[in-house]
Amino acid sequence: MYKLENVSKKYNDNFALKDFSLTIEPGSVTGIVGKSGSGKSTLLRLLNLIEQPTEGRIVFDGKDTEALSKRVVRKYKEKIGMVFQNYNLLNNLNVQQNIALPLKIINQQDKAKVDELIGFVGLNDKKDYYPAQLSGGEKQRVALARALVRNPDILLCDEATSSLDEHNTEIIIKMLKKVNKAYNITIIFVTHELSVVKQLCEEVCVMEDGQLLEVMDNKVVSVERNTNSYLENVRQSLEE
Amino acid sequence: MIFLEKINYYLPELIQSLQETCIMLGYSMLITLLVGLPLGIALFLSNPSIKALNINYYWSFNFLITFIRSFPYLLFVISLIPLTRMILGSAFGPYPSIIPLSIVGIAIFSRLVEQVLLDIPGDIKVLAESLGATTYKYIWNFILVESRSGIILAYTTTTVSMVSYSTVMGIVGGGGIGDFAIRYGYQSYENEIMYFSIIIIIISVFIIQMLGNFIARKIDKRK
Repeated sequence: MYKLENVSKKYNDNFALKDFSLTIEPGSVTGIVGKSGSGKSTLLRLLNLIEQPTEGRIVFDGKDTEALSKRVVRKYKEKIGMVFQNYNLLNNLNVQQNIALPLKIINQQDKAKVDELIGFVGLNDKKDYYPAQLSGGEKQRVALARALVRNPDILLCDEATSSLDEHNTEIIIKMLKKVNKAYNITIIFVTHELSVVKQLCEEVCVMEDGQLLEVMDNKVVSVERNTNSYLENVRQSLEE
Repeated sequence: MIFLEKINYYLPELIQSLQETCIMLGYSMLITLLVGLPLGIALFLSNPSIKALNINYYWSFNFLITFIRSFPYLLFVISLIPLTRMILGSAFGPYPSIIPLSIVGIAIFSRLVEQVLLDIPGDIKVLAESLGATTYKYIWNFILVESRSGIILAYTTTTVSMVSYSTVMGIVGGGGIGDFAIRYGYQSYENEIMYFSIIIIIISVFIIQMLGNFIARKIDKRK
């Protein structure tokens, strides 16, 4: 699905991402953890095809993304859904209109799909509500439905539960698990919340200073202690 | 003559002056909307903090708009007489007055539109990028949706300013309620007529502002 080969990204001579290599398999749920400034957001921008790497290459669906024209990149983006930490809803659009927005961008309409997703995220009774009338958890459910409306192959989640309380985090995790199992959508979940990664992800990529430190298997956690304090912290969280 | 008799006496001139104001404001505000809105969007897109368009556009538009807005209006109207004459064949009357009014309206409105658009949270741009929206779709489906009430208020503010600007158009024979107040009020020593005209202007500004506020509130779902 995604293959990052020695990818680096530089901003004003500073490396936000350095020599990063990773393969994401279709249907997998991958967690990407790291402290603030570790390069997680840059990685997401690259995975979302918003930017191109300074060095190395990203292969998406067997194609080198750098060789793609703007038009093809836009077409590829239809296969990628994105959920943001701050929901990024349009406040002047109601629930239905927000969910239908990605379709509008590609001049399509699918009321049945929008209704289905409103039902999936449990907002049937609030489909005419505006974001200002919704709670944080409800807003994130709208954002999730919006990310799914174009039937993506991949769902990128950028700190999708970081603004939510425990109860709503649980709801979103359950929905993401369902999305992964029922629709076989690949999920890449970027977060600093190790507890969420433990519940949701099959493998965990640990980042620091723009580099990939280690890829850990959530099911088979190494018993060896790490000398790097952050890695050790992640290992212990997965072990608990 | 008592006050009402005076009003009745000057009523034909008053009605004509109101018609002239409507002609000047109606056309110039329409041109302001049609040119000022796209120009404001272009200013926003080429703004150094947005960089969706070539930054050179920004510096060019920015210079032009600041230049027009810094020009003393009365002198601006007089300076434009040759240009107005070149375009319309005449520089005097309510229709030629539309040209300087429109130019000032465009400068004010486009600057206000730019400011309104700059207030849109950056998250919206990130969303548009992630969805693969073209610049056209970004403008139409994102920024104009989120800024619509702000744009209405900016247009209202511009209209109110234009009511004020239109009152000096008597200098180029544009007429209008301002010219009526000066000619039939101030210069004819009919203070009541002048104050009555001022009250009409103030009431019309209140109505425009209240209407703008009402529409903006009605379509703003952000709170």
